[in-house]
Parts: sequence; C-alpha cells; structure tokens
Amino acid sequence: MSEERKNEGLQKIANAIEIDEVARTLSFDLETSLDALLLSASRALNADGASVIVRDNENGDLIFFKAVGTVSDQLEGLEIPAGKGIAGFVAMSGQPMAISDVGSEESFYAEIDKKTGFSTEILLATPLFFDGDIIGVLEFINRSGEPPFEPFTPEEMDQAAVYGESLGALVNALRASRLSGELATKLCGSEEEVDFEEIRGFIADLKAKPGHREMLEIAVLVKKISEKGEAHRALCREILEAMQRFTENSGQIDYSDV
Amino acid sequence: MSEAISQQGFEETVRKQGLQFVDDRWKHATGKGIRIGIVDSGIERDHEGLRGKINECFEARRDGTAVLFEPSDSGDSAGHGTACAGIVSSIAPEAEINSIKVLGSEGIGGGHTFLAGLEFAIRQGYDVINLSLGTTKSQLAVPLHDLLDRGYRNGCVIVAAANNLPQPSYPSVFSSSLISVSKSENTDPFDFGFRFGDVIELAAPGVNVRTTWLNGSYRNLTGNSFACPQIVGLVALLLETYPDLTPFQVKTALYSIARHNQNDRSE
Repeated sequence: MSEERKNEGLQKIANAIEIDEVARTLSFDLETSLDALLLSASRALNADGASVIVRDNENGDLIFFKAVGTVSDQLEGLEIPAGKGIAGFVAMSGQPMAISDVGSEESFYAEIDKKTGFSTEILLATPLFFDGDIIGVLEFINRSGEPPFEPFTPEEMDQAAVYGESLGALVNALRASRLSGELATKLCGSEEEVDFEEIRGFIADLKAKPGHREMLEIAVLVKKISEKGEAHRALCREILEAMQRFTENSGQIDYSDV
Repeated sequence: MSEAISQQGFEETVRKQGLQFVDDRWKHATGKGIRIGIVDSGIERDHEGLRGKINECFEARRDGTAVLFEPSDSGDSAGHGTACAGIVSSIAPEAEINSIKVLGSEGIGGGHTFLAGLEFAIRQGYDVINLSLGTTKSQLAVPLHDLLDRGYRNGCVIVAAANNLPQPSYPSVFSSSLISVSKSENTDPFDFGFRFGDVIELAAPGVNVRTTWLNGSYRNLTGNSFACPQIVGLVALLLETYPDLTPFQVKTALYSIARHNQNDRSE
C-alpha cells in the first residue's frame, strides 16, 4: 500500500473514531437515562415490565427499542408489522388503550409470548410523542407479583401518557446519537475493507488509557463550570486559552509540581 | 335590554327546570334504519356477536398519492374496530354498521388515510360516524376542520374519542362540529355525563368495557376509544326516535340528557 493511500486510510479511521467517540459519549448518558426513566415508569405503574417500541421505517413497522422487566432481553429487537396488535394500533391511531385480559386468542401477543416464554395477561399502551409526532409506543405489561392482576386504571393511563412524553424526547435523542455511530461505521467501510473489530478494539483501548479518562474528566469539569453561567463560561474559556498559548510558547508543561 | 344571564345562572335554571323536550321513548329504540360508519382498523364481520349487523366493509388502498376505498373482506387487523362495532351494537342492535378501514393494512395508515376515510364516510351519507382515533399532525387540522363542517352541514353526526394526552389530537379538539367523548368509570351507557372547561364534552363508560374482539373472542378494554361508540349507539337511538334532528339538536339533546343524569346523581 502506497504511503499516500495509507495516510488516507488513517485519516478516514481517525474521522470515524472521532464521530464514534462523540456518538458514544452522547449515547452513554442517554441510554442510562432512558433505562432509569423506563424503570421508574414501570415501578410507578406497578407493572412487571415496560417497553419502548419505536417506528422502524416509513411503512410504520415497529421494533422493541428498550425494555425493562422479566423478559426484557428477549424483547429488544423484536419486530411488529405495521398496524398489528395493540402497539401497532396505538402507534397509528394515537389513542391510548388498556386491555385486562389479553388471552391466547390475541394471535400477535401469543406469538411474542411463544418466543419469550412469557404470559401477557394485562397490557397498557400509550403513544410516544416527539415534537407533536408519534414516534412509537410505551407499553406496560402485567403487574409485579403473581396473577390474577388488577387492571390498569384510568389514572394510570394518564400517568403513562406523561411518561410517554418524557420518554419520547429521550428516545429521539438516543436514536440521533446512534445514527451518528452508524455514520462512523459507514465512513469506515465506504470504499475499502476495514476491520471493524480492530477499530472498535482500538477505540476501547483508547478509552481505557488513563489519559483518555483524564480528558473526559476535564471535559465534565468544564461542562459543570459552564453551567454556572455566562461569566463562568467566559472565565473558563480565558483560562484554557491562556493555558493553550502558554503551552504553544513553552512547548510543554511539567506536571510534577501540580 | 334585560340583564344578561351568566353561564352559572343558565346552569342553575337548567338544573331546576330542565330542558324537557326529550322524553324517555328514545331509550327503547334499537337504532333501526340508522346508518353508522366506523372509521377504524376494520371489523371482523363474522364474529358471532356481530353477525348480520355489519352491512358494508371498505378498505383504503393507495393509488399513487390518492387514497381509494374499495369493498374489502380483510377483516380487522388490530381488534379495535371490532371492539367499537360491538359497543355500538350492544346499544343499537338494529343499526346498520359499516366499516371504513383506514388502519392496519399494508401501505395504509397515517393522517392522510384517516382524512380520506372520514371524507369517504361523509360522502356515503352515514347518519352517524364513529371516530375512535385521531391525529396529532397540526398540518391536518385545517383540512379536518373543513371536512367536519361539511359533515355537519350534511346532517351527519360525527362523534370522536377525546385525547387525554399532553398533545392536542385532531379532530377531538374541534368541538363546534363534532361531539367529543372521554371515558368515565360508569357502566350504564344511558347514564353518561358532560364536562365543561375543556374540549371534551361528554363522558361515557370507557373503563373495562366488555366487547367483541378478534377471532370471535371478547375482551375487557379501557380507553376513550371505547367511550366514543357508546355515544354513537345512543345517537342512533335518538335519531331513530327523532329522525329530523340536526347535529346541533342532537348535541343539545345529549347535553340535556347528561344534565338530567347529573341532576339524578346529585339528588
């Protein structure tokens, strides 16, 4: 491989790493917040589990995006064809609904239950909104404990709707950050064969390095100071710029006295 | 000019004297001769609880950018339309129910299909239309409003499920030319109420309502979606008894009955 081509390849990987880094930094907090809020919603409604189901394509097909509860691992990634089942209806109609005896005749949920080994007895589904558009469905299944389960109440439906709005904003942000990650992958693999595992390994190594962690800690510190207000931000910027000028002039800093 | 009477004063008069133009005869009607359109996910017409009650079934089909409606035997894709039909039929067993499927089939769904379905239902000249669904797309608000006005002028009573969500949902927020319904925990469909102060006008049973569902089954369902067909059923009874009522008069009669119901409860 020529030197020029090698440099091009390296530059491409460097770009991808940068984008991937941003996407992962962004999505880490969002993933954590989404998990926490979904769990909180599930507990508030005393449900056995809750799922965020999102539109997957323009046809209106849905996919389990996040889930908490007994079979959450098996649910994530499962697909629901457009308009099918209660989730499909709620996503298309915008009308929340609850069913207190799902039962085995409901072919769609019976199919999912067969895959997960779970038994869906009661269900509440409400739309997930972002910026006035329905982006998916928030679904609650069963109660914690043993059946028979008390049906979901009208008050719980209203409560679920409020969670639906907050979760909608988080889901939208998380999907956007994941898209950035996908963009990085595309950038890597657009023209020539690239070993994704190797790149991911490289990124993981980079993250594990003490220097990388320190950089992140400094970034968090700057963010915290910046949040105090305009004056703090300006001062912080001035100090950092002064530091940059100093290092450019002197070449390096000796940290041993710090 | 005499002194204007406040809303509170008007309410007080109605509470004491009532609007006594509707007697109880309508409660014994069956909806015979009244044509109802249910714009929803389709209806399972051979369900034993609906046998002989479903007249025509239409389904949306995309033709380029246009949405066409054709006779269909694809049934119900979600169960919701069948549930609504079961509730209407439990109150107005002899009403003629028609299905306009706008949700669920491949390539259909979304706000524009919903709008096209409502327009088709109005063109069919149904006496009452059940809209247990809505859209949050604000760009559809104006065309929907125009359509509702067209229906109103044609004498079509349009009943929509309200939306308790944080976002406004169309058309239930337009209360001028339709009847907007939310759920209550009452179980007697005749004992419905009304609400002031927001766009929701009537409150009908919508909690754990037992009704027809997919594959010949029955389910207990909760939601404004299931309060809406209760009022549709009642409107069918009213229209059978008073065939010449305009949508305005139907709404006034419903208010009057709801007022009496609430008086009875508070006594």
